[in-house]
Amino acid sequence: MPHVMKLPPLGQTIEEAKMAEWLVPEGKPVDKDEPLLVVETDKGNLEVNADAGGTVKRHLVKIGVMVKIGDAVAEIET
Amino acid sequence: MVATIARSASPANKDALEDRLNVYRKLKRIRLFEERLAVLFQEGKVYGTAHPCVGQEATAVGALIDLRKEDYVAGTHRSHGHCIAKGADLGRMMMELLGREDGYCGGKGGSMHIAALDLNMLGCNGIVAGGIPHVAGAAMAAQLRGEDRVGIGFLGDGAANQGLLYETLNLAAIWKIPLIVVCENNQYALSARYHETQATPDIATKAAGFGMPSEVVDGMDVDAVRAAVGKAIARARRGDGPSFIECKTYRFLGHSLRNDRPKRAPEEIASWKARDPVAKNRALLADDHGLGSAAVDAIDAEESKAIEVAVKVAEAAADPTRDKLLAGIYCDDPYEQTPPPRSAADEKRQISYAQALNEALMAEMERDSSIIVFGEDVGEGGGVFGVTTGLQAKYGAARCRDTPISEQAITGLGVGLALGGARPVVEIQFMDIMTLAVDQLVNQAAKIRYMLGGKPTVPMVLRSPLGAGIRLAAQHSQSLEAWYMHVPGLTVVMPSTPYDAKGLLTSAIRSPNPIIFLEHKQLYFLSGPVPAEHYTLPIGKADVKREGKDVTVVATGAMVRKALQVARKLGREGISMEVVDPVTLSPLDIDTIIASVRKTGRLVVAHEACRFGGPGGEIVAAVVEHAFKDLKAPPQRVGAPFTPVPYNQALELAYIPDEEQIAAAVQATLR
Repeated sequence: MPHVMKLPPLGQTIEEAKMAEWLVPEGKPVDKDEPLLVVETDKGNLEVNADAGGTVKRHLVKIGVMVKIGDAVAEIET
Repeated sequence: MVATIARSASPANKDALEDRLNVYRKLKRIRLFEERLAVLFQEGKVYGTAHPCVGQEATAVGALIDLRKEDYVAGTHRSHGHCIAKGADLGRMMMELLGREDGYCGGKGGSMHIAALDLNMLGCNGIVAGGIPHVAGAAMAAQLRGEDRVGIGFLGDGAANQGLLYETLNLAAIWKIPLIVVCENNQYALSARYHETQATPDIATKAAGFGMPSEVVDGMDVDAVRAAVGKAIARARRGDGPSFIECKTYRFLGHSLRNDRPKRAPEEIASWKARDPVAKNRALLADDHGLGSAAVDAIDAEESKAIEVAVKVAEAAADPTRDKLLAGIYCDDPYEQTPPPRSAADEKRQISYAQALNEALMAEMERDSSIIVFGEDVGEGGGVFGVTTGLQAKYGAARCRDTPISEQAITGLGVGLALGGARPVVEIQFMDIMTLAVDQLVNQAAKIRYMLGGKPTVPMVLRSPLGAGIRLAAQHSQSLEAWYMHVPGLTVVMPSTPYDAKGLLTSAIRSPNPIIFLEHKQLYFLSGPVPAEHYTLPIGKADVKREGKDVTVVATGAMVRKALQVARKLGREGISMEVVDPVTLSPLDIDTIIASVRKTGRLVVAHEACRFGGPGGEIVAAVVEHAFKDLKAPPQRVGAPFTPVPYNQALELAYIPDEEQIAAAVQATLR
């Protein structure tokens, strides 16, 4: 079972963010705490780190889509 | 004899006589002190230099005679008179001038830095006008606490050409700071004549430009000075704000005991000596009050004896022992530690670096009402990078203030607020602009504790963004941290992660020392794990961000993230990189770095500052000194080339050290 990474809490006032960029492509290795994706928020662009290490199996969100805090964003094969 | 005459006078006359006696004694005490000092200087017992105020006694006594003990005073380089008029102990003053351990500043300050902190005399200052924002800040701190204390700042006509004065007058006027600036226009700035340095006949007229009342008075007339300053004190205590008093006065002696310049016409000196305040008040006592010449001679003898006692005490006193050389630079008093609830690795919540700083400020302001945040656009605007967002809405405009664009005065006011018991957190919009505040940081904030004898603390945080990468070009993109690492007394903190940023800003605010807190602007909008709880992290402690065994990479600020990316990449190729973030650049935790190099045998230092003269040189040198035999390869330094930061994107990217350069440096140590 791959690990499913969810969009972590990004501070009190942010409830959702727009998916902006993938920093690690599918099939490539990622470390825990390595920047994985970028989201756009009303406070600016935020880089979000992977919450587990392994191989990025699947991006679950397309660029430009709104993502809520807690939504699944990626599968990581640990 | 004095008492006999006082008894025979009417009550009103008696009060007037006692008042005049008090005035005269102080004038005479200052005169005798300065004259005795000149002899001690000639005898080689007082060294360096000292600036006598002979002739100017009426300004010190007139301005300070009605001041309360709790009111603040900041002096100049010519300030023995101000100290004496504020009530300073002659013995401790004389001991300081002779460099003795029991002097007011432990023999560390000397003539130009005497302070009597127990009397709220915040110190004389060798940088002209340098003390004006300090006394303004201290008075403002009292005002914020609801007290009616005032501050009197002295300066000469020379200092009236310093930009800092005018920045401070403006701040004092808009914020109604209970400040009285007393300008002792003694006609000379060292050797420059007044009319050679200023086009206006009166300096005081300039105060009107700041919406501040001013008055020009005869500085040889102690009563005129007293009346004018008295009005200004009353105004300040009422909460109506600052005033500027210009006293036309004259120094009978040269600029200093070492420097007799300029040559002045004997007629000029004679015309001012004819208005000698000591002689005039002597005559008032002896003749108008009917005390008689012999009675005044007796007073003179008493004052003279007091000075001689002070000299004897000082001559017999001990010099500071050699171990005092390094004492009193930093304040080691403990402050409240709040351990983090979880490590970064165990934390799920991710927020940006800017938000992490904001959380620290929010929580500390809640915890400690003496914290005041100020800087350009930090109020409603929340700062250029949003770090102070919401502080003004939550804590009010008194505690989170927008300032005029006046970096010198903002920083100096921070120093004064800290001296006055507040906890200022100053934002300088870009680190490049801190260059405008260097005197207040380097000559004042950093040194006040040491040069005033290791007693005062300056609990100030100065936050500023640094670094390139957002195309702000040469004057908004520099990394100048090495400048401040070179200044004893300053602490330089440069966190690289949101987790560290929150914990260290909290510690910096609680610390009793002046701290330069540097935030790389490319980090503000990167997120990382940060506990929602409030916590502190240790200042002066390096953090091993990733353990490894082949190469140690010491990276600072925005380079830490890049070094970690390189470590991941090279790790997949079988190279085990240890990444050490010093976090605090001064004091530098060299032990952690050396321990890492002893393990790996290889060292790379990566910072965004120019390689030449950058922090890397110090780190490599310390490692070579302590762990030379453990090194398996020459250490490598990664840093920016020795050039201003360019605007063009390709050029800026070429300027900023990148992951490839770090990887190449790591590979170079492995060859």
